[in-house]
Amino acid sequence: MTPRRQRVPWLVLALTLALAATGLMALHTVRHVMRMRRSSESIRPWMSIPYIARSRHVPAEGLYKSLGLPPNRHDRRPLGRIARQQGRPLDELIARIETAIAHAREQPPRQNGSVP
Amino acid sequence: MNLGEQLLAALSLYGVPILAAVLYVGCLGLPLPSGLLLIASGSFVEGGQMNLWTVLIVASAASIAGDLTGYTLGRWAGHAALRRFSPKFKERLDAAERAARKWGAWGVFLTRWLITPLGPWVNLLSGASEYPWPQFVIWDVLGECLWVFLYVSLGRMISGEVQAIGALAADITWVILTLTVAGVLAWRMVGLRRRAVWDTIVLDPNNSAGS
Repeated sequence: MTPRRQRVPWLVLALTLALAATGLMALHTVRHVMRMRRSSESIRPWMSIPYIARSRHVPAEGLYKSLGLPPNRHDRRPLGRIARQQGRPLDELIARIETAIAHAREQPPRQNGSVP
Repeated sequence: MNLGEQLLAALSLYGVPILAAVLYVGCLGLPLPSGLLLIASGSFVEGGQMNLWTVLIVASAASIAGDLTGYTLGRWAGHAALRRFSPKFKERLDAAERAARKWGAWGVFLTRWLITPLGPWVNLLSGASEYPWPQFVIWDVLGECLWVFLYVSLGRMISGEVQAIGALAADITWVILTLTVAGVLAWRMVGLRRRAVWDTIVLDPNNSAGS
């Protein structure tokens, strides 16, 4: 067999592996998109109050209040840091924020209120 | 918190310097979530936490600086080392340099914004194969500016789903990468097939006439 012909089986094997990897990654991507359509991002310790307010489409003031903080749009501290500084468990803060979000969504939208 | 989340928290607190540091180090080959931080920066721009032009300029400059550092390392260390320690591969190195000159522009441009996982390696290889630096700089600047603009715009458009969009962008990048590898392998197979047919005609004309 010539060296060129010897390379063919290796190329076929590599091509098969590359196509299999492409198929797997494409499947993973499609599943990811479907997961995204089903549910929104959960609240994570890196998120700041303004970010959570924007992603959940609720005013930031209520979220600050739920954590006992004065409303301050320049306060960009992540939740993890707020939990450490307040000496409270992170899960408790997340639960308070989720309650505040649910409460804000029950309220009728303000006519001239600030949009987060 | 995983590394990505720790960097997102740092970006939220300290802003552009964190973005610049991550992009610079990421361009040197460390596996950092550069795309995720760019998307998050777009989201923070949308929320009024960061300035759009500052993000675009600083992120592009940091990425270009990282690429040029990689290129320089490849050029001054990689090239000399390859020549010194592998003289028997001289022909292959010469072939690699010819290939870099022929395909280098597309290689540099596409690995800046479309097939980003290969970017750091292309930097080193471009330097080691002595790809002309003015051309490297031109394609690098174009590609990095496009990458930064696309990812920041994506973050601005879908500003409330940073992690999900970051993960999705990474997934799509890997699909494109594996598809590119499959395309290159298929191209090589077609090339081998063509050469095999040509050899049959030239070396064995009777066989080709009979078939």
